[in-house]
Amino acid sequence: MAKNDADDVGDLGRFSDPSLLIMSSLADGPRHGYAITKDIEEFAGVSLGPGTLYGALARLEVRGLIEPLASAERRQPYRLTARGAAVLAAQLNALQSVAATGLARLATA
Amino acid sequence: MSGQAPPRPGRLGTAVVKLYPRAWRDRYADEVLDLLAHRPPGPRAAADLLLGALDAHLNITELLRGAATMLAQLRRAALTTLGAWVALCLTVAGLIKVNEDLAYRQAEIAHPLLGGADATAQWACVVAGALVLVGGLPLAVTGLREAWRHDRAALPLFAVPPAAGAVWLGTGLLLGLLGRDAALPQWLGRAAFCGWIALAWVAAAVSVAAVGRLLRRLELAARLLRLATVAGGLVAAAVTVAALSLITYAVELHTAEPALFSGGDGIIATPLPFTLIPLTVIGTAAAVLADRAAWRGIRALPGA
Repeated sequence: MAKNDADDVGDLGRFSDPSLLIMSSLADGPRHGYAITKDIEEFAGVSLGPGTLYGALARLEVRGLIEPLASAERRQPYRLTARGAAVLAAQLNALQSVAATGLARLATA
Repeated sequence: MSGQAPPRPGRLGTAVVKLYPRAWRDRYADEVLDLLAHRPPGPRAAADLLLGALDAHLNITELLRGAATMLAQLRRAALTTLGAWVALCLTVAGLIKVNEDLAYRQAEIAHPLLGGADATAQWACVVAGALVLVGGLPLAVTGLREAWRHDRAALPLFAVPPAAGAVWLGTGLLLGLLGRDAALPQWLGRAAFCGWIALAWVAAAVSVAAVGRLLRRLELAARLLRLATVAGGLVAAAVTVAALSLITYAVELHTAEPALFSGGDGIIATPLPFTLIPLTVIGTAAAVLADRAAWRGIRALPGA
């Protein structure tokens, strides 16, 4: 199950990493495009271009991992869906496992 | 922030966004332009936008699958609500016709529930009409502009509702003149009147069908369809009030004025129940359809 969840982001090609960053940004609450970009810059030091950001947002929306919220303004907030939260957790756990293994091997090398 | 104009996207960003497919722009352009207004793109971001435009052209079907489903539901909801309102207008017009005689006016004064139901049905129809304008006018204006720019073959469809209305009104005027100037046999006069009523329903159906074609054919901004859906929810509420008023009117007339209820004031002098009951059934069906469409439309809204 976790493997399939992780594949939801893994099959996004060049949008996989931006998608992971976007979902991590949305993990603590809804944000619109500009706020997502700023947040990612702050916590990851990565600047997402507008084309990449909306390419990833559209793909995440189609997969039901995020959803737009009702908004009267031009800017549209997005939030993580329950499925999106599960996929993000699976993906981050897999990364954590890789990181822990790599660090442990470096320490014993 | 107060007193300051909102930031605007630069020319470069606006120009590059125009390179995206139209369907994509309808869904995301507002958001991207807002982002670019806060952060004008440098060469790197402009290149990223260009790559994004290429990606959108190559993968438009995948990118808009979710949005397309939502928009299709909003279109269906808007059209059904419009159709229900039109049907209700014709129904209420029928009620106005059958209770136009003085005896009904006097009965409505004597029985406030009867008068209140009649007035409420008419006012609910008017309020629903105003809400249809609120939700539909921006769509009509944008649709007209879209058709003029990108799909001129769709322009004749805009003329269908006014043309259908004009044909119906013109036929009514013609029949009125004929009836006044020529002594038509009674059966012919009644047949012409029934035909004119049938023509009203045909004109309404053709008009709604034309609007449906336009809604499916033109790319309309999601925010306008969302506005129409919210207005449609209020239209459905007004249509429901009107339908309940029709039912109340029929029941109260039956209870308070049984002689009027069973009299011969129905269409072409038939017993009134033969007209009043179908009108009530049609009004109720319109309300059920409008409520169901509004519920589905509102559920399809983002965040609902």
